[in-house]
Amino acid sequence: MRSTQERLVVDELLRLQDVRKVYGRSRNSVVALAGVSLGFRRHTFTAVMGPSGSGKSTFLHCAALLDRPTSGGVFLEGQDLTAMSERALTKLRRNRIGFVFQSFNLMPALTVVDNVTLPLRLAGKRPDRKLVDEVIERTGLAARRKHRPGELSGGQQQRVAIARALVTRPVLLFGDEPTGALDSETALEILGLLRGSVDSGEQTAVVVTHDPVVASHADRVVFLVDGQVSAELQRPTVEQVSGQMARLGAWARMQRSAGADRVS
Amino acid sequence: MLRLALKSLRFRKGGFLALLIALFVGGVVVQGCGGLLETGIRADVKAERLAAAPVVVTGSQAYPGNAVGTATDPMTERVLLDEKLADAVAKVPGVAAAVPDVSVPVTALAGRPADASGHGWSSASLAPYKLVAGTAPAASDQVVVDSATAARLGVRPNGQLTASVRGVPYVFRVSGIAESRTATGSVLLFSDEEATRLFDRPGKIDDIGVLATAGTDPARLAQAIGDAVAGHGAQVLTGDHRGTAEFPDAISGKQNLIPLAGAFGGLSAMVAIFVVGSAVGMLMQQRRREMALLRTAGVTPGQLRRMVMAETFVTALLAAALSLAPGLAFGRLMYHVLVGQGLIPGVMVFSQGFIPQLAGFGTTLLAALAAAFIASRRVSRVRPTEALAEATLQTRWVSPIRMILAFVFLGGAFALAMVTASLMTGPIAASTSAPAAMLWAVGIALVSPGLCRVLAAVLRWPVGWLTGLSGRIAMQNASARKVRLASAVIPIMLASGLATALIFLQTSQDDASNRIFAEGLKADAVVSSQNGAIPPSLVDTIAGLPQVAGASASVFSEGHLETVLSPGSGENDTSAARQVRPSQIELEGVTASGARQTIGYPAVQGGYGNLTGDSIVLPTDVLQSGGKKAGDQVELRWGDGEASTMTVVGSFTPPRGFGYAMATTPAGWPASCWPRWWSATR
Repeated sequence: MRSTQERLVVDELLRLQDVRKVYGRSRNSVVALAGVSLGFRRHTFTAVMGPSGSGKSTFLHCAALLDRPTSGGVFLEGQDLTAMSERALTKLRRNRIGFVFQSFNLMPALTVVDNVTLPLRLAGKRPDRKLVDEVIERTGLAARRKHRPGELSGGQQQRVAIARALVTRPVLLFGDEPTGALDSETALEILGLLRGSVDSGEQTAVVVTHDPVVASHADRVVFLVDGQVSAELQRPTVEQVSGQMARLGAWARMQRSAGADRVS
Repeated sequence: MLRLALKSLRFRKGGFLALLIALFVGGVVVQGCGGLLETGIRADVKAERLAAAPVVVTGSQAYPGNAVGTATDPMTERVLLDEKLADAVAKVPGVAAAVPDVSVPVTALAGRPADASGHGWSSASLAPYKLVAGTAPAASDQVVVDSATAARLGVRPNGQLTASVRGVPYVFRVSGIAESRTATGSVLLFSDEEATRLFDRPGKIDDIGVLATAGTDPARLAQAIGDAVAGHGAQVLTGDHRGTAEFPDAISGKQNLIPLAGAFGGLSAMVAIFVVGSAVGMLMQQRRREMALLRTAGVTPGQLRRMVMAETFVTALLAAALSLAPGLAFGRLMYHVLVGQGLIPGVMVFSQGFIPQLAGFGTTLLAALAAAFIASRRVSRVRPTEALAEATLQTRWVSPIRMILAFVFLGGAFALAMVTASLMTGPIAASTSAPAAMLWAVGIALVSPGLCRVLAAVLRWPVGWLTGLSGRIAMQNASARKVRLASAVIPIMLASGLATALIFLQTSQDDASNRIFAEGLKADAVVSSQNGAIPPSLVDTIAGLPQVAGASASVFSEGHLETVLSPGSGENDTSAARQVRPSQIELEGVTASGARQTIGYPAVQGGYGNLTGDSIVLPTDVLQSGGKKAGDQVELRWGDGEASTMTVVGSFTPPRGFGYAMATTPAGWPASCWPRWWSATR
């Protein structure tokens, strides 16, 4: 029994321990994360869901140390990220973590190839042609190498973003509503790419979403409400996720009106 | 990194074009001003009438003797030489001839105002002038005229020519016509005796033209002559410096040009730094999201900073390189404008060497890098999460450093205003205006985001009422984006604010001095001449007219009162043994008999009527601060470097700070000061 538990802990790539995030000063502060503790095992695909204002985005920013938590610890392979300097963090993100955002976040001045190889250049590494070609091939961008982001469709832009996230061979892949700006067909293709990178045994993916279809592609779905983990589902179907979300939505609304009653 | 910077430069052409233009214009203006400064410092004037003399000896304009303190500016009138110095120069080996030269101002020719000069015939060898008709002037009533003037006036040898010297007309017989290849001015050549008589400063000369024996090196000769005339208040000129002996106006041109070019250049450099700073800041704000995005893509804060610096540096390098040729053209243009306005004489040789070019180049780069450095500090604090929000508004602009600086600058400006208003008087008070304008400008620039919000709030309703919905949206946008608005407003505010301040400074000063002048004048009528020259005898003629109660001459100059620190051997001792502390004072020459009736300020002690010989009337405050009273003696240094011990015969009370001294005219007055007259009727 003991050995299983140890193996579980060792197998954990990322761990958030009692992470709290409070925005604003004392008088009109907003608690975005109220003590979240979560572990993410290697080579899994986790979706983080929750109604608006549940702290999904804050959770992601804190997990990747894009924003510093007010208190608590974030451990990547056992190393505490909250203790690192901004410079060291940037380098760690550059080498070990890939990001895919809803708004693509490509450099408008750079071509597809330049955008994809940007993290390598920033790290002062000479891009490995074979690797770059393989990533561009895998994301289906071979015909668009010299285009600028402005000349691509939304789906193509997100492919570039995924290619850019994968080119450094990161251990961890974060997605912030990666399909939020795409139509359902394109979204499925993008999801396929993310799923593929996890299944090939290379990456571990953590994706924040409000879309039950996205969540149904995950190995595990974590539900956040008011900055706290409220439920978890393993390998859920779209219907299960939708049902859970509906309950959470109703529950959250009830909580809020109850809170309002108390105040009044 | 540089590659990334360059790509982003190419992509954001518009913004960088604006930055490029700002840097380019700044570079051009700074280079042009540098050129004017160099022209002023070199003060090169090509020799014309003295072109054949490789070395010219003339009076040193530096403050004579051993003077200490802050008022030791160069002399404002031409400093004359002792005529005996010519003999000393002639004895120097390598000197073929040392020709004493005088310039007599000729104010009218053949009854019409003219800008001509008269000289002795012996100085004709210095140009040289060659006779093309007739003979050299043999008698005191004979004159040789240069060919261009002769042609213009239509005079021939043996014809008659009336020439006025300081307003007094003389009739000459033209003995010959002379021509020179180098001289362009209108020149009359009298006999040497007549020239000395008309020059009217016995024992004194303007300069000595030195003709060298064949094969003598001018520089070495100048060195030897310098040793020979040392201690006599002379300076030895060669090459393009010789012209200042011929055109003493160039000295005042130099004194006009150096502060003008310095102030304008400094001001434009400062405005350029601000404009460039704002432009860079605005560019960075526009790209804030892009910067945040780069941070998410793995750019460290340091890399981001270096990128911003690299981008700006490349732009600045391009702008600086482009500004080199126009900078030269701009300097030349400014020179011609200033010559056209009469601020500097056209005989000054414009020179803009590599130093002004280098300075302009350097300023451009430095301004850009300083601006980029400041902007990059803010950029490096951009958080990666800012890229994830849909639209980011910068609302924070108050930083402790900014507030401290704003407090210092605005406080300094306020303090300067208080000090100027309460303690400073007269024309000196104007000297704080330019620094004050700068302090206000910088201070207001620092708090401008706050001001912009207030202004947007104030203008919101009027603009909305006038323009409807679009105007209201624009105003809401303006108040929400106050930091960005401020970046756009600051350069315009600075440029127009400083320009307005300087223009009104000039008009206020003119207005004040006109008012003071009018207050000081009680005369009912003023007689003056088109070219400023009136014969001294006219004052008696006017005073003798019926109904004229009194008439007084009026001549203006500038001198120094000297406080003797160690006496040496007397007022004309220029050795180190005599040490004095000069203080500058305006001088007005008046006629004792008519001063009481024409001067607006009544005498407090003594009276204007006592002004005879070496006597002076001083403002009361000057007299008091020197611990003197009527009857005491003061040391006066005239504008041409001569010194006199003057007896104080009275005092009067002009407005504070506009004090001037009064002395009798014409005795002792520099020859270049021509009387302007006024008379009082009643």
